[in-house]
Amino acid sequence: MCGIAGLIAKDSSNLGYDLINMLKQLIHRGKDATGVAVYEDRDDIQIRVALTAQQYQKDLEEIIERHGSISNSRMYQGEGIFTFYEASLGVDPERITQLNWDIDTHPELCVHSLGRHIKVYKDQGSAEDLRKRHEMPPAKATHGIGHVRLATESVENINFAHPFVSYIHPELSLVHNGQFTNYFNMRRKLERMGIRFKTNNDSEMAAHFLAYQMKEKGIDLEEALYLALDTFDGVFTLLVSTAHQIGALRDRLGIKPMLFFEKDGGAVLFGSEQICLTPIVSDVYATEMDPGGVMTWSV
Amino acid sequence: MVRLDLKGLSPRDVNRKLKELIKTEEEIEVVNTHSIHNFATALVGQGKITLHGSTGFYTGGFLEGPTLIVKGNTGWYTGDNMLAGEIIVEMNTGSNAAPSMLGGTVVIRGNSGSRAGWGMKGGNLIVCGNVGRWTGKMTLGGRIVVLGEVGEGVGESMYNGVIHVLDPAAEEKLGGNVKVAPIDDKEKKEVESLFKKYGIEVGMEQFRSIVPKIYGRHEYKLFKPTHKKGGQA
Repeated sequence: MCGIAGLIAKDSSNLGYDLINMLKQLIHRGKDATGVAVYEDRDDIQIRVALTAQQYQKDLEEIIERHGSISNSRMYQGEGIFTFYEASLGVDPERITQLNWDIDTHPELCVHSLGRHIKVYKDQGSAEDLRKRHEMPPAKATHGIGHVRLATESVENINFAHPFVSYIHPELSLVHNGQFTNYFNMRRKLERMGIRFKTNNDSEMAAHFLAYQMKEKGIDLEEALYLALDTFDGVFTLLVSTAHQIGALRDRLGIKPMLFFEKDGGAVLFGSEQICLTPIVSDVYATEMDPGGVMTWSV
Repeated sequence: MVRLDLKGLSPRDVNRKLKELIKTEEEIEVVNTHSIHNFATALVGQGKITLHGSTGFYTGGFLEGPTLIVKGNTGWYTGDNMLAGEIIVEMNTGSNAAPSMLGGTVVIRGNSGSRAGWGMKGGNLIVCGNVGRWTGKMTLGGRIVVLGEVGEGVGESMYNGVIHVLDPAAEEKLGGNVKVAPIDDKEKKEVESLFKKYGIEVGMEQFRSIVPKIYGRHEYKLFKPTHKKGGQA
């Protein structure tokens, strides 16, 4: 099933927690894993990595130091077996993609986010567990997206949970509700173009596809989403975020739900169900997105 | 009158309790609804149940007899496969209101989502606000009345039944195999009596009906998705 939520709220200091509160209302749509991607108003490059065990910290720092310097690092235990590593990096922005892939090639490490603005917190369990385990340092945030997962397509592992990021476009994150029935064909096609995959999850394909179109082909988010609408097969609702935009895409049959509500003052809320908007705005009537629709909002 | 507090109860417990209460009580007031799913599903009997709050999915599915008044919103599939009785939603509902309904009346005072009255076979669905797309999709019978705007593809592939609309732009939003026809006197009277019963004050002059072009079994063309922009990768 899965549930998605999104929020554009200019200059919010607790946007991550707001998103978690929204996801809490969607617990009936899945509680295998919960994740949020928060876009903060800062310019340094930050990294978040999941390690299968603490002992791999050395390997991780060794890889990072080949590309740049580390500051303000912290490590903590997640809800399950995974340990989380977070740090600010002094890295040449040009080298982020390479660094991201270098870490991902290590079988015990997985990059959850690496780049300017973006921070992805994802862990197993419900939104409540995510809030309990992951402290989000207060920072001015502009927008974010979130997801609750009911694992239907691949294994129950937090690296397979949403939001997905792509090493091709470090600031892009994606949450997906649905299934891509042409995943294997698309994956083969992308792999022939030289794109490498970290997981077997179909949503990772969508992240790489959009990242590739935007970074390599140079098209904007809206065009990329229209292209995805024509290329992807199956039932899907996507929320895609970049540093300055949120885009939404709904399949042509309108199987998977998607609601949005534009509040006065520029805030926009997205969600699978009306109830997930209630922690932010009580009792409003949200608009249902049109099947086959593509919409983008600038932040 | 009896008061039922849902705090800490699972939908299964609630429905078990309701089944017991409806045997003897005429009026049941329900508090702390906390968007409960499957409220009063397959409830048989006579009585009035008033919910002070909102409910989740499948409110009053397979309902047979009682009157359900929801003072808040309801989620998807309100009155799914309802057989008899009434559901009155004071605010809005989610998508798929009254799908496959067989009898009884559903009144939605606010707006409803997509596919309201999907596959309806009998009974009445009245929406005082707007509805989403594909209202009355594949309807086999019954009556849908919409006072607000209708979405795209209204009456898509209807087999039987009727949708009464006020929306002046309904022609531009018709689905496949339906046409707009004037409302006849018999229908007017029936709708008027429904309006009177539920205290809806709207004149009947502007109403029009959406009915199937061909009744019963027919061949229909699949609707074509609209391509707006972009192309193959």
